[in-house]
Order: sequence, then C-alpha cells, then structure tokens
Amino acid sequence: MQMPDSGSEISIRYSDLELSRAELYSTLGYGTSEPQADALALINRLLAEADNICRPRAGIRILDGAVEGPRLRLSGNWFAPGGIISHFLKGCDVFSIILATVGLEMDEWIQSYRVSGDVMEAFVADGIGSVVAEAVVDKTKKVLAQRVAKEGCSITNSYSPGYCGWHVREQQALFALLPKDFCGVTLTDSSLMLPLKSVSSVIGIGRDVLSQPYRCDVCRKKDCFRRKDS
Amino acid sequence: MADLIQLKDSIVKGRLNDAVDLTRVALDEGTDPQLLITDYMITAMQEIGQKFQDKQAYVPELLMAARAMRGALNLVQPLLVGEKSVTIGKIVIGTVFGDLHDIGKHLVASMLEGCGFEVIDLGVNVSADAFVKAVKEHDADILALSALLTTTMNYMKTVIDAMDQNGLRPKVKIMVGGAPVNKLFADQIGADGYSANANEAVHCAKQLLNIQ
Repeated sequence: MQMPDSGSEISIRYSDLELSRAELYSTLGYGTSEPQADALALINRLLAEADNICRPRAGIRILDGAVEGPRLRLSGNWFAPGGIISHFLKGCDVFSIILATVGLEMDEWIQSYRVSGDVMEAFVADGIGSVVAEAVVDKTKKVLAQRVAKEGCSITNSYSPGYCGWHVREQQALFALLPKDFCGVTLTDSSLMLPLKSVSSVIGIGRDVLSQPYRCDVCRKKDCFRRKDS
Repeated sequence: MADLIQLKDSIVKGRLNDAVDLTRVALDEGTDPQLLITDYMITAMQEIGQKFQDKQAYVPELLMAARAMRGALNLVQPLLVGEKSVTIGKIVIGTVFGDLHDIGKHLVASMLEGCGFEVIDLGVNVSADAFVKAVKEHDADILALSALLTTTMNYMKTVIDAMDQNGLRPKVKIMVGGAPVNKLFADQIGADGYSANANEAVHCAKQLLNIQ
C-alpha cells in the first residue's frame, strides 16, 4: 500500500500533454461542431503560441484518511465534500491531493490577451488555458495511477472543492496540507488559485476502487457551469 | 460605392477586415456615421444575437461579430464627438472584490458595447467604493456585477448596499451574472436583473431601461 508522504512535484512538459481538439471546441462553446475558417485560423495561431509559452507544473501528496458519511478525513483534518463526492471516495483509506497548473507563463499570456481588447482572442486564449489545465490534471492522474499500480492499487476520479457541492472555501484547509508554494500555486483569501488556470483535487486510492466518470445527473447543483445536458 | 448590406453581413459573419474596409469606404463617401451605427452595425449585432438565441450560432461566432463591430466602430466613433449620443445607455461593469475572473464579464461587456451601450469596464477585483465612484462619475444607467466564485458572489450584496448608502440606488439599475449566480440569488440580494449569458445580458439591460 502507498505510504503517506510530504508531497513532491512531478516532472511534466507541455509536449507530454494530450490536448483534445474536441474538448477545446466544446470548451469554446461549439458543442460537437467545428469552427469555421476565420475562427480556426485564430485558434491554430494561439495554440502554436501556447506551445512555446506553457510551462506546466504538477505535484502529488499521499495521505492517510477515511470517509465517514458525507465527511472526509485527510491526515487528521476533516472536510465536508458532501454526499456525492464521499460516495465515490468510500472504501479508500489512502488518498492523494494533486495540484496541477498551466504555470505562471501561460497565465500571463492569457492575461495579455485579456487586456489587449480583442475579445475573441481573449476568449480563445482563456479556453486553451482551461483545456491545458485539465490535460495537466489528466497527466498527473496517469502518473499517480502508474505509481499506485506497483502496489496493486488503482485510483478514483479526481474531486475538487467548488464542484458537486463541495464548498470552494475548503481549498484553504486543503492547501494547508500541501508544501508552501507547491508548484508555484498560491491561494487568495477568497480561495482563488493563482495562477488562475490551476486545479487542486482529491483522489482516493485503494485495491478495489474504480474511476467513475462525472455524472451530472446525480448532482443537485443544477446551475453548475460545467453541467452537461443529460 | 460602399455596399452597406455587405457591411452588415460582414459583422454578422465576424469578418473584421471586411467590416473595417467597408466602413472606411462608406465614411470616405460621406455616409452619415450615425446611420452606419444604427441602421447597419447595431442591426447586425441584433441579427447574430437572435441567431445565438435560436441556437443557430455559437459563442465564438457571437464574439467574432462583436470583434468586427468593434473594429468598424473604432473608425466611426471619433467622428461623432460633440454630436448627439450614439449610445442607448451607459453601463459600469466589473468583477467584484476578491475575484480575478474576467472572461465572462469581458464577453458581456463586448456584447453590450456591440449592441449600442456605452460600457465602462472597471476590470476585476473591484471594491464597492470603486463601483460607487464610477457610477457617480459616469452617471451610469446600469451597474453590472460579475463573480465566478461562491466565496465572492456575496460581495455583490455589499456593492448593492453601498449604492443604497450613497443614495445611488434609485438612479441605477443593477444586473448580476457569473457561474454561481442565478435568478433566485439575484432576487435575494436585491438586484434588478440577472442573465445567464452575454446575449441575455443585452436583453436584460434593454429591458431594465425600457428599450425596445
């Protein structure tokens, strides 16, 4: 079984990431359609820029813990992720907190488009940032899965404060369990991660756990902006 | 002679360069700048807005249109200094204190501007005092507040209270939006309007000012 640790960064490069065009188009609001020529040229230009700029970072910490009802204990600290997330983490007694970020360079690049005044460029740069951040999470989960597989374990899906009813203010307690300035990510008083395109998540580890896909139909948060029509 | 129908179409289709070129030709030929805005540019934005509403256009297409509109408007607006106002209302917009997200707010601002409003964008992490100051200074008709976090959305109420305390509430309509915000929350904090997307925001703003 994985032993608790104090957390460490993993080596990750932009070229390691599997960026999905379909995911990007979906994030930009195209649904299952594809952009027309003018928009496509703009998207391709910004993707090429991102390729040169992005310096992603990610890290993993392993902790002991348990799920009791709708509550989660991580290394002696209690969290309230709610019934939906607790259900998917049930049965695990080892957990991981992962932190993934597109890095400061890409955040500044997105910001430069925000202030440039071209709303379409700002929108596409922001969408690319979101998709890259998710790709960093996916890569980090793969690294974690490979690591725990050596012990005969597997991992659950990743769950973050701010989703499925887990209040975003619990980021504060989650970050308190990570090394200072882990992956260069800091937290504001309003629980906003900087760089903005960063993701923190909890993942369950165990011998008989499954990575269940997100199921919006079981979530009560009907106004969630990530909600997929089902 | 400039084909003004083509100007409208180029905005609807989000063709920035065509929109700018056609506007330049029209102005060189002496076309009334006010007519260009009201009869062609704003009409174009209304058309793409309706397509979006009818699910015949996507968000990026809305933005490409707003971008083409902005390019054309940049040529026209300097010619209107001192003439009658081209705006249908003045809106102060910003992301509330503690929150640094601005892409949604940026989209809303662009659409409002494209549809004829004058927009004063205060940016992100804006305090209640700064909103009060801007509403006073610009004599705004509408204050639009944005937040993406459940930890920052409650600050919208602080801003509304500050408007009240400064005697501005009867003069300014307040609309709110952002991922965690909904109609119920808007009603609870005493906002006048809520919109779920940039196009709805235009309808909401027009409704608040009784504009057809």
